[in-house]
Amino acid sequence: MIISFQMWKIVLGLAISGFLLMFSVNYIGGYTAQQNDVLRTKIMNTFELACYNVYNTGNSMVFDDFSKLPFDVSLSVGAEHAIKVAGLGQRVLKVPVLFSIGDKMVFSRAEYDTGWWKFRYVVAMPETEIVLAPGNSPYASETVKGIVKALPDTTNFKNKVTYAVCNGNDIESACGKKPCEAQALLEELESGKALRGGKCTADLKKNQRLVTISMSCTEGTRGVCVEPYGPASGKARLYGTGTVFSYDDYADVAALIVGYEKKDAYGVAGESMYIHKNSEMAKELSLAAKIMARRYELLAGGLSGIAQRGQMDSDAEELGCVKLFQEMAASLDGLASEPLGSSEKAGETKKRMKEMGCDYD
Amino acid sequence: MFEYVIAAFFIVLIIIFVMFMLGSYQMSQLELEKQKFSEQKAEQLLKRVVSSPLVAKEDGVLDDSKLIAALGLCDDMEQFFGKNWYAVIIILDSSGKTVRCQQGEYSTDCNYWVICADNLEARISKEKASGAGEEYAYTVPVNVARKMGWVTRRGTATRAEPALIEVWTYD
Amino acid sequence: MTERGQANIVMMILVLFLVFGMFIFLLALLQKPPEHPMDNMYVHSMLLSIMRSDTGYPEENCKTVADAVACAFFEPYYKCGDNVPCYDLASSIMQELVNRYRSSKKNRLYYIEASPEGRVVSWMGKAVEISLPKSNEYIKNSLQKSTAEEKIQKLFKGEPITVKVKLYMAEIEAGK
Repeated sequence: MIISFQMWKIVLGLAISGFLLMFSVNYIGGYTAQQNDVLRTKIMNTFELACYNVYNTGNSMVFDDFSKLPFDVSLSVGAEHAIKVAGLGQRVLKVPVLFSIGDKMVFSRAEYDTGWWKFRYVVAMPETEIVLAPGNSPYASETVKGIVKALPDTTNFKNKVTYAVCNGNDIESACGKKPCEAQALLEELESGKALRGGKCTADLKKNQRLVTISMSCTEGTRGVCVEPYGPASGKARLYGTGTVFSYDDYADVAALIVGYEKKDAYGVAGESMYIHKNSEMAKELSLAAKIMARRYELLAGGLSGIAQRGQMDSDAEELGCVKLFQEMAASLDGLASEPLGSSEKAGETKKRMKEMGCDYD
Repeated sequence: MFEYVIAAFFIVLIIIFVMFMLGSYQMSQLELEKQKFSEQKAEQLLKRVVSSPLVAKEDGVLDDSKLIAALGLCDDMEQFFGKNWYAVIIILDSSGKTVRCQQGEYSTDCNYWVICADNLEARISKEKASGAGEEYAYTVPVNVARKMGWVTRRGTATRAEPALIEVWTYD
Repeated sequence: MTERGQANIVMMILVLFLVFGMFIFLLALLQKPPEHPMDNMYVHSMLLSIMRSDTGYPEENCKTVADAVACAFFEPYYKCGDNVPCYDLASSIMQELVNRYRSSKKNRLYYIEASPEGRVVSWMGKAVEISLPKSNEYIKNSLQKSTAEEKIQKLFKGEPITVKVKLYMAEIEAGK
């Protein structure tokens, strides 16, 4: 009897322990998954704040938090451009960001000057080697300079965006020394060095992105193929999409390079970045044109009022600014409804205003 | 034997208690993190407004003509800066008087701009009623550059005045 | 009896673990009182705004508060608008602007001081210094203060000069 009682105690003890163990393991499993989600949310929050900080201050920074956990991040370009993180939902960034996720990232702010307005955007990309295949286009050198200026300059940063040249099966550093970063490459190009390279058939590593500059881009070309018509315009193709992208500034090309060929639920990431950049730019330029048109009308009225009240001599040079303010307001009124239209006239007027001292830069 | 049962009972109680404590600690950390993130976003909005060329001449120096031009363009400003915010800018005059600037006319006599606060109650009441968001308001010293602050017979010049900007946001 | 003793020991150890664990947990919750990052931003912005503000005098030596402060140390005999020495202008306008900003954050005390970097400037036998108001000088030593510093760099007779301006902000302690 004693033995059976002790047996019963053992069995009961084992049953209770087994139950407790199962409960604990389940709980810990759930807790760990929840902790991972919490950590991912924290990392995305830090990413979002880093984008705002870089946009506001213009100070570049490195970002390594994505190395802590695997992330599946994509950009949806529907009615609202939202960054979607698998398992965490979506968030809408309030500043234009061209991004691709990697373990060691670098953030910087770039800008595109339309002549009357500077469109700023953040570029957030992982350590990358941009492999250039310059081809025989007469605008190859200008195009390379434009692309380099639109991407982060990582000189003095620990995460690097470097440049190499490809010719056939060979890939070598673009400026004869490693690593060839933006500043070094621009110095070489400014000094008149021409990059030599043709069609690239080399195998590319995971962190290499191919940019071909050609007089004629075909659909099957790997990476990004740029076909310049002039120093800052042309068309481009991205491998994996049948779309022909036209560009009037290098931010468009930067968008294709940063997003690149990665496929996600919304298509090819480079295409999404291109759409996002143009949509954000149109939105910002439209608002800027509205505000600035109103502003110049106000200034024209204000200055005329001062003259009419006799507070200024009728031959004062500054009164010449009234006409320029009115011209500028008229040009910008047109751009407010067609923000991506030609801003040449507005740019010219702005230049004349600056020369006359009518307005600050 | 009875002691073993009591000991086992207390052990189980302690394990379950620790699990619940961990869980509730986790929840409180999440809440704190969420609040901290909202505060930081509000701070970044303030920095963005104060440095944006849409209303500023340079970082920390707002332009009076741009501020007047921005009045009445709240829907567009919201598309750009986001929803549920307003800004009040006031020049700290020696007179102590406040004269609100109106759209449509450039004037150096007014010293007080309100951007996007009109009809604020109507615009955010829906969100406030449905959500459990937080309000944040930050005030920061800035300068306002009066474009025609100095007027002489030969021309005008810009004059920098001390001012404050308050940015209120609901998240 | 031995079994009972063992059970008691086990219980005591468990209770000790529990108490120890609670103690560690509560210690982890004990955090420093959160710093006010916005206070830092406020005081930096306030100092920049003061330095950038126009004084009302159009001359190059007196146009902004920063110009007047630099003038106060290196050309203290210069008169703004032909009648106000720049030292007097710099002191009075800095005090006035601090008072104007004070009205927006009433529970704070301010102290501002300016001095040339790397040298002592004398005028009429005394070292030139700007520190206002003297009654608030003690907040420099306060633990809970926010500080902002700016450097004014100019050329004086072809030589680069630097004037350091520091603004201190502290909370008014209860009862003071």
